[in-house]
Amino acid sequence: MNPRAVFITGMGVVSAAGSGVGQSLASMAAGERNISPVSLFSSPVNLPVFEVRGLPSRVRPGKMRTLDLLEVALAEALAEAGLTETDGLRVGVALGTTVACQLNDLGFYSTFREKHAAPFESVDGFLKGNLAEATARRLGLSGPMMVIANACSSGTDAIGAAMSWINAGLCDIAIAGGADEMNRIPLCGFNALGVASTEPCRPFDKNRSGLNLGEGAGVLILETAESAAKRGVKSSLRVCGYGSSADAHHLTAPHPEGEGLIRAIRFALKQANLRPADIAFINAHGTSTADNDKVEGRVLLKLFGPEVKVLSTKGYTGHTLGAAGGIEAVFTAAGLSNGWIPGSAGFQTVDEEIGLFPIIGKTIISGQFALSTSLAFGGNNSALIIGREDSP
Amino acid sequence: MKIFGAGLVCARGRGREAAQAEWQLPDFIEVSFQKEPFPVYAVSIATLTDKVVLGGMRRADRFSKMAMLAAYDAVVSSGLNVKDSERVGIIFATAFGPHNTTCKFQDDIIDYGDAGVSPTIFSNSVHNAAVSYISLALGIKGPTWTVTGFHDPFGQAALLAQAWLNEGRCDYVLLGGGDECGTVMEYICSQKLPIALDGKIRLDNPLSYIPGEGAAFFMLSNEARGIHLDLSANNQAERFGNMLTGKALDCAVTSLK
Amino acid sequence: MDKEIKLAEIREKLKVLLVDQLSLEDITPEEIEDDSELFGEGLGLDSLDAVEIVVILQRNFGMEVKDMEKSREVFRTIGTLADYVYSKTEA
Repeated sequence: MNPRAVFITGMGVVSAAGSGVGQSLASMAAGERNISPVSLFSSPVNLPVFEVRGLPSRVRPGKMRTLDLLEVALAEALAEAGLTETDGLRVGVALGTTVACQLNDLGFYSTFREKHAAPFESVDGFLKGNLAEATARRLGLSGPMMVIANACSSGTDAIGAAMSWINAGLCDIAIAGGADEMNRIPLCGFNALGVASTEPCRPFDKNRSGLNLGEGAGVLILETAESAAKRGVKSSLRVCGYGSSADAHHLTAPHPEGEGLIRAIRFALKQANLRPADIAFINAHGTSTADNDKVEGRVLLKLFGPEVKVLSTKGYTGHTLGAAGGIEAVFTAAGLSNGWIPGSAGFQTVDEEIGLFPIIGKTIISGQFALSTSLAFGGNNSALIIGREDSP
Repeated sequence: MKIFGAGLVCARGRGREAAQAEWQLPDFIEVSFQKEPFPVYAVSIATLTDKVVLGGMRRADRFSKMAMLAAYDAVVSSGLNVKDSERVGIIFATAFGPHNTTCKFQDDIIDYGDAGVSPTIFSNSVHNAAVSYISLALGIKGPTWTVTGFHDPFGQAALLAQAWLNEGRCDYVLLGGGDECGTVMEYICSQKLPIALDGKIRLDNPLSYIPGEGAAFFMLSNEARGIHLDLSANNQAERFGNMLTGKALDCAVTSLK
Repeated sequence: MDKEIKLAEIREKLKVLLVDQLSLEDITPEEIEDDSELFGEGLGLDSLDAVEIVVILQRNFGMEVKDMEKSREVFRTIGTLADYVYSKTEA
């Protein structure tokens, strides 16, 4: 495999850590954790979550919050990439989500169940709200478009899909990432699965007790060197390798030895033509559940050794499900670009069963490549390698 | 991109027999939202009863079972040994996913409260449950994906499958598409689309919609053998109903005939 | 004596609920032994069944199970589960 170089010419992010890359990095550097009880809806499941504050109120009734979140991140990414006009450009859209691909509107459903009829605002919002189709329509794009619904690896996989498109010559530019809103249905679901914590999450910590749900969006603009040069846009960041592999083990539990994750990471390294020692830091999936952190932490130690710098940014954003891969790709790229990464929030005590020490406090990094990992319910695992172009 | 194995589950049954079956009227079912019977091309319970293939799927819903049967048949007819292969990927395209199970989960919230819901129903209510079962049952260990959209998600999935094969991400891709009917979807169709209440879809008349359900899978590679996956296959909706999945079932009927 | 009768009732009820609610295949409630292991060898239940059993207990016996780790011994067999249900609902 000899892929075309794919550059990151723009990125945007919104989560409980902040709106925009700059604000998010500043709040993480300061160790802020904006976690609080759910305010967006009322539920007797009283769990702390990471909500996005200050999102402009809805203009269109029925429009999904996920789409609002996506538009915030996308506006930032498009502005950075200088993509105000897309006429004549071949642009694809690949986005991951979990909530926005289902009609998860309890108001509609309960009314329909009771009265055998219900107002259609949320149905219309759903039918017009497919993230990729809505984005392509709004921006007038005609390239490939796809929403990836691979649960918690969706955002990372969307970036992988965009890389494959560009590699295949299907487009020259791609909008890629993920978005998900805080929604009552997954909140109830994750609570029932016994993986949600009543405390702020502690990825990789011995005393971790589960995940906190979050919401947000993270978007990269991917582009070939030729296209960027033609538009007069420069970037030193690029996506270099991507791997995805299934555990074929269980509907909700990861493979105990992380076999699928190991294969995904090895594939990404191979595509990027790198060795494990080339990886400066790893933005881990690190959900803070008993199973995920044990499997993932052990795999990272096994493949990269005890010296590798690992963090989970879920201590700042919560688990944003389909958005996680997009948000974490943005943070990974920003870390490489700025030469520092925030501490892995919530970690205090090493878990001997894992043996991994994530970084504590803001940490300077050197090196030109970083890895972001995602493990999904259903058994799909994905790994994305981002590089800084002053590399040899 | 060549097909060397295909599977089909639709209102007419399963496999080649279903592809060759004569046209029949749809089922007219009783629905809560209107007095008149509502036409649907629904997959029968008999089609979804296969102890051998579905034996290990005690928790699975009918959406996952439809997908599983079609995927299984595509693999078996390909003659390929996919067990433990990381060189085989899966891409499954759907418009609505397992929405009956999503509704069932919402029933749980209404009936038992937010804190009293079933985690098993939740696990099955997400779009990627079906491919998870397929990967698990067949031992497929490449990328295992579900993609979704309302405008030809199957066509988009096929584009990605071709890209994966060309870049060497996979040697084989198990590409599929499917959707299911259900009360909420039928209600939405009844409000949004001109339903052919006489039970006859006329391909030359877009004002004659009848929702259908089913799944189709294809084992694909860049090898020389097999027949081309032809996305311009004739629309065959009059046989199995209209679906937003794209041409998955049409391609299966064409290639299995 | 009353306790033994009550426990036997709970065990039978649990067996029916497990087969039905966990969609167990190729086994009837009568075929489940009081002391066969629920997880791993034995009935072969897994982590998802464990959290589903929590819901079964909640809906059918009105009990809350908070800490899954501490419940490991309780969830070992039909017998231990019935003892636990009895202690929470009857004692």
